[in-house]
Amino acid sequence: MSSAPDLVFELYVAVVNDANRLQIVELRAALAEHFQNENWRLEVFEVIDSPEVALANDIFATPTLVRTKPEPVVKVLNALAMIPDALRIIGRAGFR
Amino acid sequence: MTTTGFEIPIAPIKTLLDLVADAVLVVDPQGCVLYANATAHALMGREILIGKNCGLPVADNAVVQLVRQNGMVWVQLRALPIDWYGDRSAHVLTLTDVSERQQVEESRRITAGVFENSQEAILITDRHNVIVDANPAFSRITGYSRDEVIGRKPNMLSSGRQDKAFYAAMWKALNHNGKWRGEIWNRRKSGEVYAELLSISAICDENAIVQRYVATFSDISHLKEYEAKLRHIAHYDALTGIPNRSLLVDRLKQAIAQAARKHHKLAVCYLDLDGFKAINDGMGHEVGDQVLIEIALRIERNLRGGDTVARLGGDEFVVLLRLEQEHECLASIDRLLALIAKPVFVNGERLAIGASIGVSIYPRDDCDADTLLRHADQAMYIAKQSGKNCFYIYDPEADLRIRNHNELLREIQNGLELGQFEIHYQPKVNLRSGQLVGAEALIRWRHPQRGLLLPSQFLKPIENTELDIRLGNWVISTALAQLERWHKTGLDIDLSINISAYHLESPGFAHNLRQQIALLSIPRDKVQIEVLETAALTDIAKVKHIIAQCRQFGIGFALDDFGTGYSSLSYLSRLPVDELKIDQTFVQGMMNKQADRTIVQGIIALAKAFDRRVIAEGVETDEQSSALLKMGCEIGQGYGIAMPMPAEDLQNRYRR
Repeated sequence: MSSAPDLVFELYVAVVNDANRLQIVELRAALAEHFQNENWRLEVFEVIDSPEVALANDIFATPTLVRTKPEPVVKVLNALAMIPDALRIIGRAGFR
Repeated sequence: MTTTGFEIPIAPIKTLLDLVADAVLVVDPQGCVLYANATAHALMGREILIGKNCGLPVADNAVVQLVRQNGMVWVQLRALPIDWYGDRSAHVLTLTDVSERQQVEESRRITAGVFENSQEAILITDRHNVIVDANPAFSRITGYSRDEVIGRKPNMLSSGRQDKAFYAAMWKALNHNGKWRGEIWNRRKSGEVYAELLSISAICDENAIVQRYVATFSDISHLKEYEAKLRHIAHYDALTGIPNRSLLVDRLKQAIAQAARKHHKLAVCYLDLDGFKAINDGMGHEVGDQVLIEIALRIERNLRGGDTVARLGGDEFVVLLRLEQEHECLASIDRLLALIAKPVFVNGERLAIGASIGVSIYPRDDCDADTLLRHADQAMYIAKQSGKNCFYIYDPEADLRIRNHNELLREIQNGLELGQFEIHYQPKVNLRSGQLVGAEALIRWRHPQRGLLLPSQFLKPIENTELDIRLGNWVISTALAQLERWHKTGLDIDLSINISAYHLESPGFAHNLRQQIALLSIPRDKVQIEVLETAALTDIAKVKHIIAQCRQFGIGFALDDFGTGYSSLSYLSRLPVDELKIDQTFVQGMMNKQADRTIVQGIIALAKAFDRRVIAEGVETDEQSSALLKMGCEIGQGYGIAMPMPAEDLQNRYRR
């Protein structure tokens, strides 16, 4: 039985398409490597057809990677373009 | 000036920043907004930005999509570190709306993708028809690389199969409608000619001046090959490879048109192999097929150019021969028969085959393709019936006669069913006293279009047919019923009824007549059957027997038109008839011709000698009556005495 994850990430993209599908796979791989000893989860949200979730969570632009747990919430704009930088920001903010 | 703990620019700078077309935001190290200009609020579609966490940018000069309630927009994001009132880790972000540019780029990307990845070749020329670009599919289809064609004209692909008029029409359509679509044969770099389905569009500027021509095409060579195969299947016999019925009919139509135009003749020869079924059944279909192939090839090899042989199916073939003169036809058909009659060798076996050929010749038989074929087919059946391995040439005039004959038979049959026939009665009188002694029942046809017809106008075609018997039976039953009515009303006369020899000799004639008479109250010896002398002589033994049977139940017999049948005295003595009717030609001629008079006298003398009654037909004048009386003939009938009339008229006339 898996326990609740220690780290929860959310990735907001306009839509999952051929252009970003591979980047998402790379992001997962990078997360797995970066947090290999952690229990983490990544959820991907498509915004274009239902922006309500993104708006409710104060997501201003896509792509945005959000760390919702542990607090504080950290958001990285354009995270897929520079995954190592994004992880550095997410990783250093507030825990570790 | 301070608000909610965040530092903001002094008023004039704030105003200036609000006027900037780009969104400007300042965020703290956690990404929370410290400042946002008016454009930022408008562009991001939010009233409150200050204090919101919009996130930290990881790269300068990125293009992202803003999340908004009313649709996303593309923005170019720039980020620079800024000393924000002492906070050196703050960032200033600018967002430039690049949606339009993105759309243009997206559109370009799509167009480029289509251009690059299309399965159809795309060729673009300038307005002078000089090639400016070509896609990979173009190179794949034509074999020319992009570099090889740029700067050249599309006519480099021309195969020469289309003439100048074709291209002139194409350019006319292109200039007039701005587009053209059609099939065209071009040549690949390898030299191979191929078919393409080509669409050309003219691309104009805002002033409607053509700037580009875009041609898209696909290689349809395989479709053309498939089409050709289908065409072959549709028009050629799968077994023999020669034309089938469909192509034959096409060619026949063309041949008829050409014959009409050039005033030559055309023979349509319908062949059916004799002896083929026995080979097919006895030796198997494979052998049968080999025979058909061999015969087809033989005929095909021996035809002149322009003539056609086709297989209609089974062992039926049709050969179309162009003829200068009709008599050439006979020699050609003889050659054809000889060709087919040569033995066929299959698996070492010598097989004998022949053919029956029916021929229709245009324009003697001036009709359409289907009818010419049908007539040839009919003629073939006649050839078949005539003993096989021979031919028969269809005769349009004979066919017309047969058709008219059949039509008349149908009409008579219908007329009988619709009650169009009636009987008129011609009085027979005592020439001395003028007293009515009997009547002859004579059939009439009240034809709906042709009016009242005499027997001579319709009886001949039904001679020796079942219809002859049906019509004869109707006459007997109608006349007998009338005789019964007359006798009931007191008109006590004899009635004679004309019967054909075929009817008289038909099975059960005497029996049927007896049955009919038994059903009516008619006195004995009042009914007489008239048989032509000529008919009675055909099978005298049989006729004699039937007459004898009928006489047993009181039926009398008369020999009609006596004198025309060359009866010998021997025959007359053997026929048990009661009466001789002198043919009207002798009666009408006897006043002027001694020969006729002698014949009349002779017949009267014969009748007396053989104890027969005698009656003269065709009495038209008082002089004839007087002469007949002098010669010893007491009874007569004819137009001079009374015309044939309806039953009521006769009754009214002789009751007075």
